[in-house]
Amino acid sequence: MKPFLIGLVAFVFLIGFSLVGSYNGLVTQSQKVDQQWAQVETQYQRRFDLIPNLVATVEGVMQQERQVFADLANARANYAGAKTVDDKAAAANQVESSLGRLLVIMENYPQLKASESANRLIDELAGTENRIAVERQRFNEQVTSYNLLVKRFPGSIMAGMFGFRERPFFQGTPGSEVAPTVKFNIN
Amino acid sequence: MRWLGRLLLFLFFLAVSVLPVLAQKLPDYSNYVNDFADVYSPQFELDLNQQLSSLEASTSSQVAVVTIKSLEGLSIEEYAVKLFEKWGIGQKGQDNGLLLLIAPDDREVRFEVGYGLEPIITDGRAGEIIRNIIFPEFKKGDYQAGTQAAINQVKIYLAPGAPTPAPSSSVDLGQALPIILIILFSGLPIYLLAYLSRSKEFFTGGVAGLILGLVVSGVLLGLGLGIFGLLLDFILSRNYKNLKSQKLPTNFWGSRGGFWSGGRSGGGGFSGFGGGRSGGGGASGKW
Repeated sequence: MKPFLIGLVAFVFLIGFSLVGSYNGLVTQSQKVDQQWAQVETQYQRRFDLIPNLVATVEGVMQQERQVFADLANARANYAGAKTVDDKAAAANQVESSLGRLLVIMENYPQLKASESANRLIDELAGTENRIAVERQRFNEQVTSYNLLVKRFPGSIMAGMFGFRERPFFQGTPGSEVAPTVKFNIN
Repeated sequence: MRWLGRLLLFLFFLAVSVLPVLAQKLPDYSNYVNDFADVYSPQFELDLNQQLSSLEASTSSQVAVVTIKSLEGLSIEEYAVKLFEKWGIGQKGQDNGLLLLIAPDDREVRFEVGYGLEPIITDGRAGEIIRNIIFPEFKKGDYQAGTQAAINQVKIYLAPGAPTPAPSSSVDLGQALPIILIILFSGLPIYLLAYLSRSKEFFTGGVAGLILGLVVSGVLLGLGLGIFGLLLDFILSRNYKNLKSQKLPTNFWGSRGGFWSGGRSGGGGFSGFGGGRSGGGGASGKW
C-alpha cells in the first residue's frame, strides 16, 4: 500500500498546485481587464478635459451653433453623474456623438482652419479619439483572454467555485463605433 | 484509401505553412528607415539611419521612418498602431518610440507616438510637424526634404533639456505577469502523468509515471534555467567588456542593467527595436 499512498499524496499535491496556478491565472487576468478598463477611462477623462478648451476656442467664432454646445455640456454632465461602467459607456457614447457633430460643423468655418490653436486642439482631440479606439480594442482583447480562461477547463472549475464571471465586451451604441472623423484637409 | 490519408496530411502541412503568411501582412523591419515604397535614395537612407542611430545613442529614444506601398485596407491610424505593436519601437519599460509612417500612394502621413514620448511629442506638436513642415515638401513631391525636416524638428523636441509643453495626462501602464509559465509548469507534470500511468500495472505504473513526470519536468526546468543563466551571463559579460573598452560607466543605471549596450559601439549600428509600446497617440493627415 505504501507506493499507492505516496502516489496519492503526490498526485493530490500536483492537482493542488495546478489549481492554485489556475486560480492565480484567473486573478491576474481579471486584474488586467480592470487595468485595461482604467486605461479606457483615462482616455475618456482626457477627452473631457479637452472639451472646455475646444469650446472656449471655437465658441466666439461659432456664435449661432448654440445647440451643439448645449448638447455637449449635457453629455458631459451625464458622464460626470454616471456611476456604473455601463452608464459611463453610454454617456461616453453621447459625448462622442455630440463632439462628432461639433467637429463636422467646424469644417464650415474657414477662419478656424486658419487658426493654429484651433488646429492643435483638433489634433489633440483626434489623437484622443484614436487612443480611445485603441484602448477599447485592447480592452476587448483582454476580456477575450479572460473569458477564455473562465470558460475553459480547468479554469472553469475554479471560476465556478470562486465566482469569476464572464466579462462583457465594450460595445458602442450603434453608429458610434466609428470615432468622429476629425481630420482637417488642408489643401 | 491510403492516398487519401497522405493527401490530407499533405494538405494539413500546406495549410499550416501557408496560414502564418496569410495572417501576417505587416512587414518586418531592417533598420530605423524602412523604405518599402521606395521613395528615398540609398544615400539618403544611409544618412538618415546614421542620424537616428546617434539620436538613440544620445537619448535612447528610437525613431522609425517607414514608407509603405499600401495600407492593406486599414486606416493609417490602425496600420500605425499595429506596426508599432509588432515592431516594439522604443525601449522596453520606457516606451520611448516614435513612428513616422508615410503612405505616398494614399497621400497620408502619421506620427504614432509611444506612451513614454506622449508628454514630449504631443498630438498638437505632431500635427504641427505634419501640417507645417512635412506637407509643404510632400506637396512638391520631395519626400526626402519633408522627412529630413520633420526628423530635424523631432530631434529638437527630443534633445535633452528641451522645453516640454504643458503636461497633459500621461499614462502609466505596468506589470505583465508570466502566468503562461505558471500554467505551463503546473500543467506539464499532469499531462506526463496521464500518459505514463496508462500502463498495465495499476499502482507501480502510476507511481513510476508520477516520479518520472516530476523528474522530467524538474530536469526541464533546471535545464531551461541553466541555459537562461548561461546566456544572461554571456550577454552581461560581453556588454561589460564593451562598456569597459569604451570607458563607459558599468554601474547598474549607466549600463542599463547590463543590457542594450551592444550595437551602439560603432555609432552607426542598429540592434533592433527594444519592445516599446504605443496607445494611439500622435497625429495624422492627408495631403
